[in-house]
Amino acid sequence: MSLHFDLGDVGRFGSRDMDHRERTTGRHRQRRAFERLWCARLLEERGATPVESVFGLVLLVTIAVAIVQVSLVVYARNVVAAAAHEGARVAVERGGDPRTAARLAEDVVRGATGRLVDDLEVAIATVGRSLHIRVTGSVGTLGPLPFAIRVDEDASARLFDAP
Amino acid sequence: MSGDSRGAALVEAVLLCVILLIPVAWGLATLDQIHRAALASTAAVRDAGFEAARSPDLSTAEEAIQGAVAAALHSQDLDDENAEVTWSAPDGVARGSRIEIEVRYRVEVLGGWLPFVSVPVSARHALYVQPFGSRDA
Repeated sequence: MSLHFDLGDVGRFGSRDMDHRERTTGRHRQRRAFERLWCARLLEERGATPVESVFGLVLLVTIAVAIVQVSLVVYARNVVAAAAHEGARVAVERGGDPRTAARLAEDVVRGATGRLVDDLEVAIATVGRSLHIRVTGSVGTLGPLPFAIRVDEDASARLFDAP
Repeated sequence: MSGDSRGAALVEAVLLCVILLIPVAWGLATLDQIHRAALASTAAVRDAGFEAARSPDLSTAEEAIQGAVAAALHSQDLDDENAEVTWSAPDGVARGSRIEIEVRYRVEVLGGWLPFVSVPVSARHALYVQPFGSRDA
């Protein structure tokens, strides 16, 4: 593709240094004219505002998604903590049955979060007269992020002897 | 648009997002505290009611209630100093009597910077001691 511009003077000394003008090749003239055209277009800054707006919009959407993500993780964390506490309490009230505690903790998390928390695990240990329950899970991330956020909460309760 | 204002919209957008992000993050933290307080308060009154119902007398019930409330609040990483526990058992803790427990928790909105700005969260639980249920004493 060839560009042909007839812009007359293209050199700094063009109007005064006639010898230089005569020596200037056509290709050089075309190049200088092309550069001048680009400089003019850049100075006009046409289209700058839409581009900047797009950048701002992308940033805003990213922040909004991050806020939603943090909210989901916080909610899941609170529910998992409540489930651990409920499990520990039920185990205590039902005479230290770990299966009941695990089932109730899972039910609490599933009932309150649906499928928000994946890989749910409930671990129960009895140390002396204390029952410790640990509930872990992972919250999937929104968007293309390739990792999940772990939530890990534990609770304990003191076992008492049935009368 | 003049040459000096090149990129101004982008800079303004970034600044605006950052400035807006601070109150949003603060609001999120406050909502987190309120949610935790609500979960802990409801668990606290339920556990405290159970503990009171199995207590042999009022003084033991008082200790058991305070302990249950503290445990429930600690399970959500909340400070039990912000909690106020009131309970009543007009007929004592004998079988068939009614026990009512209320927990009020003050969520500090600005992280305790303003002592008079807080969100109250409360939960109430009423139960009857089982007339024929077993208990320690």
